Amino acid sequence: MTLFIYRRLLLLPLQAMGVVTIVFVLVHLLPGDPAALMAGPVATADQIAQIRANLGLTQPLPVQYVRYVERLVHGDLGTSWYTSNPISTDLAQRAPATLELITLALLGIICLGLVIAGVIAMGPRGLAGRLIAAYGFVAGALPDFWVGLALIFIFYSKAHLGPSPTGQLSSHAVVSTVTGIATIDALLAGDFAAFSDAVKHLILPVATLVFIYMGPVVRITGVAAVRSLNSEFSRFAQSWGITPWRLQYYALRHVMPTFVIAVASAYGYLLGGAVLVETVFSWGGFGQYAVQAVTHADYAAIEGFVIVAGIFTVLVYTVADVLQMALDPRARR
Amino acid sequence: MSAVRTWLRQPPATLVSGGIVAATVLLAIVGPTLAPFNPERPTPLVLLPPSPRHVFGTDASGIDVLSVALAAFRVDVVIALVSVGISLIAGIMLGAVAGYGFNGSRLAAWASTIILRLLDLVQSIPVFILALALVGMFGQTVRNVVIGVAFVNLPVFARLTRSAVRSVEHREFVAASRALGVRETGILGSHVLPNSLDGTIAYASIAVGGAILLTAGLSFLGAGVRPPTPEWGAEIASGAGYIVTGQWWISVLPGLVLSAVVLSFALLGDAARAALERAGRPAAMPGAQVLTVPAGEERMPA
Amino acid sequence: MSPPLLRVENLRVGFPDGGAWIHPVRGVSFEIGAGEIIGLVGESGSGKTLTALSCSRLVGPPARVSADALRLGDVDLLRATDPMLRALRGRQIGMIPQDPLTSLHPSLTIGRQINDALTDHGVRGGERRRRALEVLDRVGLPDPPAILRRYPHELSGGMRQRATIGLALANAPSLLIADEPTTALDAMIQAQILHLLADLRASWQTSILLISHNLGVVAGVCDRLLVMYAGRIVESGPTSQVLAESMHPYTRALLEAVPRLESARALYGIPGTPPTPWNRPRGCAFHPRCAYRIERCQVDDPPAAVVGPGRLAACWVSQVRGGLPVISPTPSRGDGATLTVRSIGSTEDPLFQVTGVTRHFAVGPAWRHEIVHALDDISFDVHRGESLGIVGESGSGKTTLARLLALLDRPTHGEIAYDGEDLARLRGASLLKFRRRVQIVFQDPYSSLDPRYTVADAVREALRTHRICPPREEDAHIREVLDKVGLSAHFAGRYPHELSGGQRQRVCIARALAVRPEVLIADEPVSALDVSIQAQIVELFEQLRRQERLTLVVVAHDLALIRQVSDRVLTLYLGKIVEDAPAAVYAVRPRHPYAFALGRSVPSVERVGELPPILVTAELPPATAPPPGCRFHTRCFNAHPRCSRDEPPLVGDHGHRFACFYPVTEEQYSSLTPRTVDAGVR
Repeated sequence: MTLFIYRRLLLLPLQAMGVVTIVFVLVHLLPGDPAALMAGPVATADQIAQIRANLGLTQPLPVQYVRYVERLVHGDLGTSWYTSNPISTDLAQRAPATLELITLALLGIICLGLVIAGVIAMGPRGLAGRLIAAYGFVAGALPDFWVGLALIFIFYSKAHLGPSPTGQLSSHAVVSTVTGIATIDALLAGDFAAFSDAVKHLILPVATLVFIYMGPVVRITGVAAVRSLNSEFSRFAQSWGITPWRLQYYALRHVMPTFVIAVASAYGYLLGGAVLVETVFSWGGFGQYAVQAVTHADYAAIEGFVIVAGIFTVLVYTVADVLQMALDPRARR
Repeated sequence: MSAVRTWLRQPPATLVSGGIVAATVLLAIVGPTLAPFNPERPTPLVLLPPSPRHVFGTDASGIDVLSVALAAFRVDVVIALVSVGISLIAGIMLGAVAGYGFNGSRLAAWASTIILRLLDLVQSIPVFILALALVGMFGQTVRNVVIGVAFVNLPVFARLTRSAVRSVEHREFVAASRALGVRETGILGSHVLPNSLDGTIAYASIAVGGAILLTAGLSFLGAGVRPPTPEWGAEIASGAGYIVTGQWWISVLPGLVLSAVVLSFALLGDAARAALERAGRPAAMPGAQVLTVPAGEERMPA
Repeated sequence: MSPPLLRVENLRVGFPDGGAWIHPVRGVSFEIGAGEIIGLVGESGSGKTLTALSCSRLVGPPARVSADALRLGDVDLLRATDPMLRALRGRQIGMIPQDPLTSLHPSLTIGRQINDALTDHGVRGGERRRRALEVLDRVGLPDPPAILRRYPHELSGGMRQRATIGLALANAPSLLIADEPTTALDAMIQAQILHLLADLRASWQTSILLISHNLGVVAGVCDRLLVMYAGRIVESGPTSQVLAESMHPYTRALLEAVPRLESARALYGIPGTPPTPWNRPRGCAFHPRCAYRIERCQVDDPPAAVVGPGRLAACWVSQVRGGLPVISPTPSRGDGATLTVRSIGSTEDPLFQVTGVTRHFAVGPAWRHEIVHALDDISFDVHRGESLGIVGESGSGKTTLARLLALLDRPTHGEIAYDGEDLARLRGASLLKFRRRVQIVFQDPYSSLDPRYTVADAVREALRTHRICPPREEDAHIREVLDKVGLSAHFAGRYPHELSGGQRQRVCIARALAVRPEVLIADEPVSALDVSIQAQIVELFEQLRRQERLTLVVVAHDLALIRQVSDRVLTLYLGKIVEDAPAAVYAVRPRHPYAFALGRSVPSVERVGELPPILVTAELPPATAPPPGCRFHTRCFNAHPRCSRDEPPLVGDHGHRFACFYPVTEEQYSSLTPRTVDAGVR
């Protein structure tokens, strides 16, 4: 078990290198001079020459690659021509807000998902089971940005519930930034009015993400739960007189490894979804930064964003793999 | 042939979703000609709510929203169909090479490992982010949206084909043909692939829906198809700012059209999967598989 | 006699099918007394598993169960509520499933699952552990405390089945229903489990309903037999009488169809295939396949009637005449039954020469893989015209060997030559020529035909690959080979899913024969088929051998079958040949202790009330780490210290070789005999 974790962790740097390599290859596939692209549309010839020297673009590709990896290891992702900040600074500033959003959505998905899987395990052919199955389908077909807009229309424009759905805090609530997570900063400042304002701002975007990205989790887990219930070990357990709640527990326990993997891939998708949902709610996080980079042809920023997002995903999958091993003894060797 | 017979015995829900998909494809061809107004030319009639004349209302530029929604069929559906078509064909080819062992050939084993590692790499970046980055870096043209969407979908098709090919390869009719002396490429083409593609093709329908969502999402961010080209995501984005002030129709109505189309592609794909299952040919699909093969199943010659 | 423990009267199980109902079980009646072991025998689809599940009310919607009586002791099972049933299950009536691997929860330890079973029946804390240890000890598992901590996948097949039985016994039920409990197990483990069942009855007075398709299994332990066909019990009575003087033609036909290790004799398959609930014939369901049928059988379904003391049979003929007349069974094909031709091929003319062949597989991830020793340094010849049998348990390497001979795989070391040519050197035309001369038929007829190819297309592929005939003669050729395997020409247009298992296997043989091979390799050719169909295929092999002058290599785990079809038998153990003997010698006096133990572990219909002796108890060592010296020494009853050091060579003469320093002695042949089953207290 521990051995497996070590081995899995050893794989992590390799996977991270993979992400870096892909981005490196993509940038070099770009038509035109990478230095000019990185420098942005308003750069002077001097600036371009400076970047070219920095990137070592005059040297052969393998050398460039090594230097590229060296820079990344030192946390140097380059400079954004648009914000004129180091990209690592920009990202570090914005990441907490996004992490808060997607982690809360993830917790929502795990809790609700487990409840729903339990309901399916009770009666897959009943009304509840069918409704859940239909939900799983519909959620996968709705655009998340559109659902966000629809929620704004219903709860803000029509029902007038809560503050204006933009940003993490209303303009009147000001707290000094410590962690970059509005709720925690408000608590640290002891400002409970701001805290409740921050929570209210969180509700709609988190609800949007949970609604959309729980769909596949529920569908995969539901199918697996039904199969578990119809499987031979369920029948054998019934033949020794298992109680109904324990039978359900057995089915859920059997589904857990699948559930973990489904949730982990949902986390990966959430990061993509956050880009759209942040734009809808003007969240000012990681995702919106990426959109701004794309619309302003800020190549260095796009590159940095993709690398960080990729490494984050690789980390999530590693955790999921380890959890899966813990849950399924057959996978440990 | 047996597929046609299976189709004719479908439950009504399948026929309905099939009907919507057929209508969608038809609209992709004739949609723009059905648009009552010019979907690209601004008029002074801005932000009109839905009325008999403008059934979906008009947007901030005074363009008829229904016309945009209809004309967008050609853009979104064609982008989705073409990109899924590309990733389907490329995915099947990659998956076949990665999955088929060519009777224990060393070369095939290496090719398989390399393809799998590459797919792993591509899949370690979330799909939407990769598509956004690709389009952002290579330029926001329709062609690049197609390529980007095709590229991010490719790994799923390749993996589906690969796992199907692997399971079919271990069935004994392959060994029987091998013992008869049929060439490996012949076995792959005439026995293995025909028996492997059911699930991949059923999934293609679902993927078309996903590709539409992806295209619309990119355009919503202003990173995909650009105005004035009529496109669902872009139109939803153009109405996003008016939601808070109550002009809901610009975003909500095109979004409903988009969702209905995506949903019917998904239903059709699921119906195909269910039909295969009933016909005793359960298809591997993402979301349908329960547990992966336990560790230690992989066998390689010493 | 005390009132029966379980009474089933006119049990029917129906499923909705379109607008109508189909009844896989239609009117089954039987009783089980305290301490009785009853055998329920039938082929797949006869309704035996549904009958068993109905006895503990485990058949749920949409199926409908009805009966005139379904009583367990004083309880009316049909009226019992769910909580009542749950209280009964496990405590009064337990089940042993067929496949222990899929029947245990994969992510919970054995101890946890037994503990849960005890908790759900109200057993208290400390008592639970004591009971769990006791029951694991009872089922003969070594070191019960360690087993409690194990996960199902960490145990071997036999240990897993013992653990499953332990779980079923945890709450000491008075009735056990065992559904094919040994089918997934090897012969030696099967014998151990049968002993365990017999011991349970003897010591705990547990009643057992033993369901099996294998007549030998039920003959050994059961007091009475129930023979099931097409959803009904067609014959019942004391085991010895049912087997010795069958009162139903189906029972008699089944007995004629079973190959026996003791004696090679002609087998007679039952013609046709068992009906399904959808196409059950009018009248007696067996009449289309019955050699005794009279006119009435085609109209009226015979009721079960008393045909002797404690005996019932549902047959018009035996009811009218008080027994079945003696008529020689009709073979399934019209060309008359003849005894097998025994001809030891000339030793001067080897077709295959296998020299020092080793096949290793690497399993697991590349950085810490283990080597599976599938075959190690194997040498033997296959002579022209002979029929060579290869036997061994699962993991012995027999299938690997078949694949190597068919050139579907290549050896890690060593050489296989065919007709003097090294297979490793064949390329292009010479390879294609070899492919034509050597053909193979596989175990699973459901996966060995491409579902998208018709029968004709499958055969045509063979014809075209070797340009056997010009395209316009293909259809005639296809008809001809189909006729050879006993299929009429109208099968040509069918798809595999429209055929039964036996018909598919015939198509596979036809495809192989289409290229007019010299050698036919058959890998477990009948193990996926029903008993009555197995005999048809065996007959076909024997007939083909005569008519086509084929050399046969048959690989199987069924010793009696191998005995039936072979002239010479190779016994494999963990990748080594331990014995190479003429079939007749191999059947009665094998010299290697493993071959001997394997032969003795096979239950036989000829030994009613006798169980095979348990000569081997230790577990099969893993193929990744075969023991040094003689590979069998860890389990051998004759093992000496030398056996763990030196590897015995395969030596001998007169076509009989074995690899053993201390072979089975004359005295052992007579002392190591089957054990009579303790009938328990009746």
